[in-house]
Amino acid sequence: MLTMAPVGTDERADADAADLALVTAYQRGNGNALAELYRRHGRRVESVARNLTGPSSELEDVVQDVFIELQKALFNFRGEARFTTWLHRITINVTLMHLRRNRRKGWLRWVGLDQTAEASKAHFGAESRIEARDLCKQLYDILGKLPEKKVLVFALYELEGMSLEEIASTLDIGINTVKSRLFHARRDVYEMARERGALPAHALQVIK
Amino acid sequence: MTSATTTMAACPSREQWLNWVLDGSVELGQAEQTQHLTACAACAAEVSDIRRFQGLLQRGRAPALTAEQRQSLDERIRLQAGVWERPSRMAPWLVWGTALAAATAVALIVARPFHDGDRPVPSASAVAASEHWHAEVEGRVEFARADGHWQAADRTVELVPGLRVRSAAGARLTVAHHFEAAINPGSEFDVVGLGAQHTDLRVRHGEVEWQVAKQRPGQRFAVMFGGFRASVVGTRFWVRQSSDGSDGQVQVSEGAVRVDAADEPTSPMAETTMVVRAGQRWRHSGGVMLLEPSQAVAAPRAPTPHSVDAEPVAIEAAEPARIESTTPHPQARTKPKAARVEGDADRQILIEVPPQTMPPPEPALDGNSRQP
Repeated sequence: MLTMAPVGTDERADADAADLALVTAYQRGNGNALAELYRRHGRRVESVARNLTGPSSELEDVVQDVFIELQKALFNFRGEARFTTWLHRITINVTLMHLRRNRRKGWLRWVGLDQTAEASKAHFGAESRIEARDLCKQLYDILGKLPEKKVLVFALYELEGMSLEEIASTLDIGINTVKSRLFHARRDVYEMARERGALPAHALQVIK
Repeated sequence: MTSATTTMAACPSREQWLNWVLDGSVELGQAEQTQHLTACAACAAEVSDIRRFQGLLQRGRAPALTAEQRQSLDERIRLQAGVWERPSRMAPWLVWGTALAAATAVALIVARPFHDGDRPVPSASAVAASEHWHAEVEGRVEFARADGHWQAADRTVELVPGLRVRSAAGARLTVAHHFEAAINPGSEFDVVGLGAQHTDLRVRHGEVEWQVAKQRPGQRFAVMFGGFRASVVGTRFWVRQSSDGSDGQVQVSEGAVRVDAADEPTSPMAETTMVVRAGQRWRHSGGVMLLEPSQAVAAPRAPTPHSVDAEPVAIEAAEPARIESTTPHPQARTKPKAARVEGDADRQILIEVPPQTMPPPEPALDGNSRQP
């Protein structure tokens, strides 16, 4: 009897096997394996970190810190979880540490876009730059006022585009917990955005 | 908010709609919901706003790294990973060629040769051939030979292979025309091997700063710590080794030092080689090796030998000692400049020197040419 596998299962299994092979190679002293892991997952790490930190001039440092932590931890990886899940956990932990450290220093938790002017210029384009930059700033201002647990779920789902199952697995919590946190985060973000007028009519017109 | 929902009276069922829509448990377009939204302008506007808001979130994402930033990051990660590259992958002739180049560089990169005016400076091998290895002692030093019995050193101590040296309060050893060792309090090192062509030492624990005369091609001055070995290319560096062997550091203040793991052949890093230049600190901890600018970390504490009472003498102004002199070398009274930790000490910036690449010749600090 043939069993039907979801589309993409084979590819995912292949990718997991390739990751595991690279980890094993690294554990045996092959330095190129780390570079290859970065080539495969660096963009995703950057994306997760970026969506958690918001516009930050320290994004490069955060990503590199993730790979430093990864380098330290690789010898302990036993393949009990998917490598990507494990890497996402490291990414989240490093990013949260980064945010907490900044907060302890009394810095703004979410750095203004002025510090990443060049990046935002390239990102938002000329036409809707002002609206989008304002939206981005408002969004991360709001997220900065939410509890960390809500921010995590909100950013990973709404901004990073991870599935509920992925988030549950990465954060090692139940899927109902993810749903609950997501709901409350959405509601908080939306209500706060309304209260502070962060959803100006012209911004809403952008996607009409 | 200037959208319609702010100006309209809220529908009594708004709260329910809001929960449903934000929860994602409602599929708009079903007959019942469509009917309500058609009849209730307030709810229709609210739902519309929520949908637009959710669509806007993607536009509110933080900007990605620029191409330039990404290139920089790629390079940093590549170098970080490159620390682990094994030179054995190089063609054998290239390894030998590099070794030859290294030997040449040792001769070229001399930060502070011990010279005596215009007189030619005797090399370490010449000293070794003509004299025993007597080190002059400043401060209180204890040593133990093969019998393991510790005894206090007088003004001098004869260095022989197998000798263990320790200092509780800090001290300085000077082997004229060869090297000086500033031993920080509570540090201990071994003399592993001595000869005309090699000087091998091992820091058991603590922190020792070494200032070394120029090495001629074929000569080696190496300090082992943990499973690693720091070989002198330039002249001034310090080595710190934790008691449990889990952490080791090399910081170079002058010249350059080559670090490898040759003292532990079974280590996966046994063939790893790095050159640490002046202003850089190399460290290993938990199986990871990092190279970072040393200004981000505290400079080593200067030992304070009891017998030193003079003001620190500027290194640049130090008078050279004669070979037959029995007085401590003036440079022995110098103290490493202290540096305070500034800024974010937690941040690590990895700047890795490509393995097998020798540092370029450095200009003489005092304008004197440096003899190869």
